[in-house]
Amino acid sequence: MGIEHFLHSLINVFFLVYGLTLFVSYITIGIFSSLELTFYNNRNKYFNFNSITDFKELPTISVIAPCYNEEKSIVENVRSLLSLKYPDLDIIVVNDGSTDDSLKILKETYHLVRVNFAYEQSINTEKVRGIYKSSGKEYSQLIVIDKENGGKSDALNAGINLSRNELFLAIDVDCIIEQEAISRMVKPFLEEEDDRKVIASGGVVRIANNCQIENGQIAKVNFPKNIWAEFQTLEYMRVFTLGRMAWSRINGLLIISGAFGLFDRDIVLKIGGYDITSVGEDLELVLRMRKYMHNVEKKKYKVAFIPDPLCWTEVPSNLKMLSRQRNRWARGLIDTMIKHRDMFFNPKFGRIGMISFPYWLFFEWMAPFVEVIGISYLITMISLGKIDLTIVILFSIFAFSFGLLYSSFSVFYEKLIFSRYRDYKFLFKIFFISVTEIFIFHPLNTIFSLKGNYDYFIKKKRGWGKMKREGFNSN
Amino acid sequence: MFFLTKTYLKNHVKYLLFLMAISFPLIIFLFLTNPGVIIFGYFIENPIYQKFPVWAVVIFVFIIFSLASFIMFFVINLFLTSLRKRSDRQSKRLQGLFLRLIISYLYPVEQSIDEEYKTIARIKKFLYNGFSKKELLISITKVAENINTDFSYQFKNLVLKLKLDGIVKSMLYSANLSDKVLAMHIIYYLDLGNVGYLKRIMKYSESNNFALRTESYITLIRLMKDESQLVEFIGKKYNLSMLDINVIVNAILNNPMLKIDFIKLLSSDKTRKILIGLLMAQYKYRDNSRSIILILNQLDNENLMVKRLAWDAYLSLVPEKEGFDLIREHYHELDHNVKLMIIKHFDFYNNKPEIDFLDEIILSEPASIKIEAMKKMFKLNMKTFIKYVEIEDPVMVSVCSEVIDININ
Repeated sequence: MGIEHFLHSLINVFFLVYGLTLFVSYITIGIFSSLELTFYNNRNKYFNFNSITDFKELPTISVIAPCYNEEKSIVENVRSLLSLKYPDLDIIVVNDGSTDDSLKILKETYHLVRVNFAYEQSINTEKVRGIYKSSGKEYSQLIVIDKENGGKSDALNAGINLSRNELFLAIDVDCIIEQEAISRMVKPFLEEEDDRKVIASGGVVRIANNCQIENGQIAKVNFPKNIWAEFQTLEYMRVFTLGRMAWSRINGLLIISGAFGLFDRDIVLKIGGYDITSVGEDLELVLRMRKYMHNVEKKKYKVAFIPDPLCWTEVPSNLKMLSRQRNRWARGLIDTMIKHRDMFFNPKFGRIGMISFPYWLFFEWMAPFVEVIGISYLITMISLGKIDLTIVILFSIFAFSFGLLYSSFSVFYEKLIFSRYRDYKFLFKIFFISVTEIFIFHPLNTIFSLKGNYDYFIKKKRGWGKMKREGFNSN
Repeated sequence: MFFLTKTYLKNHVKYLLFLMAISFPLIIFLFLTNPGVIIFGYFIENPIYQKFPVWAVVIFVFIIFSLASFIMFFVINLFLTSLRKRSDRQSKRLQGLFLRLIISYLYPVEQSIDEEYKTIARIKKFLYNGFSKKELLISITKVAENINTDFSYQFKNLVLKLKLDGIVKSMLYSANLSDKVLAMHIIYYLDLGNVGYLKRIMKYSESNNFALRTESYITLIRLMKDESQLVEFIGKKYNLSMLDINVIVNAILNNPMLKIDFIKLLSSDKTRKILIGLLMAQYKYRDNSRSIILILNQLDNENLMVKRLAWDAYLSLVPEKEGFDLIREHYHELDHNVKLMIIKHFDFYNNKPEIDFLDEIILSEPASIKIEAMKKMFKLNMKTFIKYVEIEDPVMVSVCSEVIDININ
């Protein structure tokens, strides 16, 4: 009886401490992100970002866009990249062994001719079959690498090898990038102060499903019509507007989205580029860059974050694709956490080791386990009559209402600062989505994440899933 | 004054609302831990009084607070959407209107005082509240930003006649950062320099907020009449970032009337000031021979960026022969980035020493420099270039192929 009581108390204390820590973390994230967003908005509201292109001393940039079977949207996407405004800019599209007509379409549309580039294999990649450049003057910035399939990281590495610029912008080719995006992303690099080197800057990714595209640019922002994309719209708002902004405030950002991030090429080269064995290459790269700065350079540095919606992407619009994507994210997270486990509560890595890394481990990786175990434990205890049902209901309502508050807070900031969704319909829809998300999207996400853990540890699955593009609603 | 009072009140109302929101959970907690409360003679009973332990009451408080906040945010979002729709519409209408009126004020069909008076009167008609006044000021900055001619006198005249200088002053002294920045933009474009403003902006130039600092630098550059002052205040308290440097350089270049003591900048002991001096020497004072000797002193500066910019400035200022002699003398002591910049930017000539030098570079340097040198060689001396085609070294083969392909295709 004594042991049973002790175990019961121990489990209760564990869940209480876990829940309380998570609750306090969310409140802290809310406060920090509010401060950072307000500060960012105040200092950039009247800054003329177009003036950056007239600056005399600017870092040179290469945009690297890996592409795999993107024939439906490749022309539009490359046009979007070519419309980016920045002096001294290369656009490197890496065709990662597409089996469709992506390369053929690119060659025809942009008048590509094969060029023997002096390609240095600084980072090992799959075989490069050819490098193409446009013969048309209007597309003179465009370079296309055709290589054998090796995955997204491998394609990015090939792009890094070819680039001769100081910074590179890693993006998904299917993203629509706003014209001012590079000027906004490069600003933190220009704002380096007190020898605090900016090693990377990340930007917000927003959902382009159902948006209207004209000439490679977002002409009208529409709320998605598909329920899964709607859930993800809210999720992205929370993650980017609140989460990453707060981590950026304390220079504890661990991830820069693989779809949109600007990096110091020299540092990336020194650490050997993207890890091709990881499916969470974006998270892994930032961790390795941070580690390098702590261990080798031993200099003050920063990973910056820009809250403006600058990159628009298509997200999975059916359950099958969504489950594959989340499964991959879970496996990427586990893989990275295991690879860099030496950072866990390691004071040598400062806030990263003591706050960010443990947070990701406990509340990103472990959360689905704790949640499922907690719910199972509750059900068992209720059926055994050992827990008061009223209390369970009370806690459940609390979790639900706090989730609503958190979501509405992120929507509030979107409205207050960016206001990209301008109609009333959006508000009513997002209100409905916030309520239903907790019952539909969240449990599914938990299941997908657990499945990712199962696949990683039991099935030893390490590769990417497939994602079918629908192409944008383009005029 | 009215604007300042309004902003002051608005900020304090915001704080008050914030305090109310913060104290809301406490009020609920007090209510839930008591049997009830009497409001205007009515007794409101607490339905859960003493039915739950204190910790459960705390949970209740959080639930009520979260749900109330959720609804509040929804209402605020609705309000913001409506407000933004209205202000967007108004702003678009007003800015369109003001832009047209400003253009007709700057370029009147008929040059007469009467015509000017009429235009000003028409603008005045639409200045019915703080919002429209701010829109006019934004429109003025937009016109000033996009027109090459310096209309600062006309703008200043317009603002004074419309009695908007008060609102500019209020914005400059406002607690709101974005108001301060907008005020400085207006002061900058209108050349509204007076001692009071200058003092205030000088204070901002020492702020630890770099956004405010950068804006104040631009404004001061525009307003400064005494060049020596300019050199003094730049980077006085804080190190300049590359953004500051670029912004300052652009502001100086966009103000042809401004003469700055760039010699003092070049001889400064602060790296960032030297960078401004180098850019000034390269882009603004190209004819000033005094700078050459000072730039020469910076060619072996420990700071890589200073070194690179010094070489860039020097080579763009001296005759080709002089430049080449210096390159040949120091090339091998330089860092990779400086070497690359030199080979990329220097205009080599087709004479024996220069061709020999390029040849040596092509054969000895790493691929990135080889390519740039070979590009020059391809254009200067095909006979020497052909020689490389026959070399079997894989790096040479690939570099050669790239240069041929890029030039022929």
